[in-house]
Amino acid sequence: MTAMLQKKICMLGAFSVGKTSLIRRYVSSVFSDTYLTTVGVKIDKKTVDLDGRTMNLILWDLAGEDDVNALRLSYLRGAAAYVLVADGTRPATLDVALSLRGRVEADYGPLPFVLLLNKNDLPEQWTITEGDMDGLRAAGWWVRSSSARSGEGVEDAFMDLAIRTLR
Amino acid sequence: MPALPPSVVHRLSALIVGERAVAWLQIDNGLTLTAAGGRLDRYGLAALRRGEPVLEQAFFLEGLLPLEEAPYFVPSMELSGGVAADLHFHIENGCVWLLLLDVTAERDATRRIQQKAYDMTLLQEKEVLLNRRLEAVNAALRATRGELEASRDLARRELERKHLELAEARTLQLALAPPPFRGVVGTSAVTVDVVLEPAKEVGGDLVDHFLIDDDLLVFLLGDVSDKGAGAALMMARTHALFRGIINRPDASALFRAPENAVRLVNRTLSASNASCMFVTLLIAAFDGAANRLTYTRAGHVPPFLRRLDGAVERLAVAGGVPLGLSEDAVYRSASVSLRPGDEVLTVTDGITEAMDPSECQFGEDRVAAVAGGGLPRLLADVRAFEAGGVQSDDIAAVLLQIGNRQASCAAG
Repeated sequence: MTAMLQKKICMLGAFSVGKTSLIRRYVSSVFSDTYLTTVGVKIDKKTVDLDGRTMNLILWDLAGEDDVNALRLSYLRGAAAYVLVADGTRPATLDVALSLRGRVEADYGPLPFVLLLNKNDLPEQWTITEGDMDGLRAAGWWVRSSSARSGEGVEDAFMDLAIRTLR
Repeated sequence: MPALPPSVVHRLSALIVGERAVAWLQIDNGLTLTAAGGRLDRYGLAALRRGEPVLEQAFFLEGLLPLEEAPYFVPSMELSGGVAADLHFHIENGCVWLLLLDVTAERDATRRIQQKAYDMTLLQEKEVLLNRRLEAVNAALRATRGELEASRDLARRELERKHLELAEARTLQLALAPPPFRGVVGTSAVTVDVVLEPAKEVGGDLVDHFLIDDDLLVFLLGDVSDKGAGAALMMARTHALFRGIINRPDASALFRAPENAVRLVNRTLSASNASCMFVTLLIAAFDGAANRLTYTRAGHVPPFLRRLDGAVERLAVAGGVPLGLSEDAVYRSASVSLRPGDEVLTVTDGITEAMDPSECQFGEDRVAAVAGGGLPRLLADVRAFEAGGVQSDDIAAVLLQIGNRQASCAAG
């Protein structure tokens, strides 16, 4: 019997950027406007097919970081990859994402990650410029804009990351 | 740690087991589930299969096993059914032990507080964002208002400059109207009075009189077909052209038969009249030796001749078309004898067409009725007729009065 392929992927970002909504969109294809904060960590599973290989993505939805509650880096133990999430309508959340990425890399080394600039369904409130995104891409980051509401960019981001965990 | 009495240990154990819904898993070095027990159902783990890989049954352990350090603690992990558990790992006898303690109530309490704090923070962020946008809008409005004020100031300055220029133009134009004449022409005592009142700052009415030799007094009254600055320029040009003829050697001949002077001026005006303005004109030359008035009427209101006995005649012979319409226009003149006590009143249509509030015109009959009363009386009657209304057209008039030489000398 072939052992089940499983990868732990953590969701990181400031509070209320849409980490839980992105997972709900990805796992259950649903979206709710109601914001419900996450405490600790919430676990979900998504089974994907990668060219005939079945992989379980074990999704760790970590509580958002704020001024009082710092991220427990211990939650990332054993993670194969992570998703940094920022809110494209709140520029300060991009700063939080940049900071988290530095701390994770310092503790766990260069893990695969993708930066999702979420809430691109709110273009009139969007504050992050293409120039900002291009600058990050030039630094080697995988940057995507996404919308948990519409689903845009969500599936692709997780699939990209799943593939990269196999390299 | 100081030893606790068995009774305390037993009570604590009972409390934790009872209140925390304790469940446990035992995992060997090969990551196989060897044993499990307690409230497994509370965490959705009731179907665990002993003797099989634990990671395929409890996927939340992915990445945590093999255990890198012990004891190890993962706080507040939400598992199936929304239940939150603290995960406590320790190693004993070569096996990993996992204890799950229910912290759902604490998680919910923390969530309520955290939710309020985050909601408040988000509101504050929105407030800051809205304030920034408001400030941006206000700044744009201030800038726009500044531009508007600058434009308004510029427009006001421009208007003031134009008013000033027009006021200067008005002064210059009014200066073109000559002062009254009191004197002897040939053997006749003659007075000439004029009125010139543009409807706007400047106007298109033309009034002038001058002597040629000692026995010929020429007066003219014109009305340009428009009003305002353009008409004023046309008026000034016409005035200058007539004045220019005075210095010619043949001036006397040209004015004694005024159709000749008119023909000369008309030719010049018509040759360069891009604006297509025209000038109605009455020019008359009074020969004081012969007591004859020779006039050319180019489309102008016929003058009023009031005899000494009060009878009013009109000098209505047509002398030609208004000036400026055709270079080849032909003009002719007519003559009338004047006697002491006669007077000739010439007006522009600003007087005959002055309107009352019901838009009735003053009319030529009213002019005829007040002829003999002098220009001040005529103007007063026109103003009274207008009853405070706005002057709609330029007003000009010339009054020629024939006296006798002795009376004039006594007056002089």
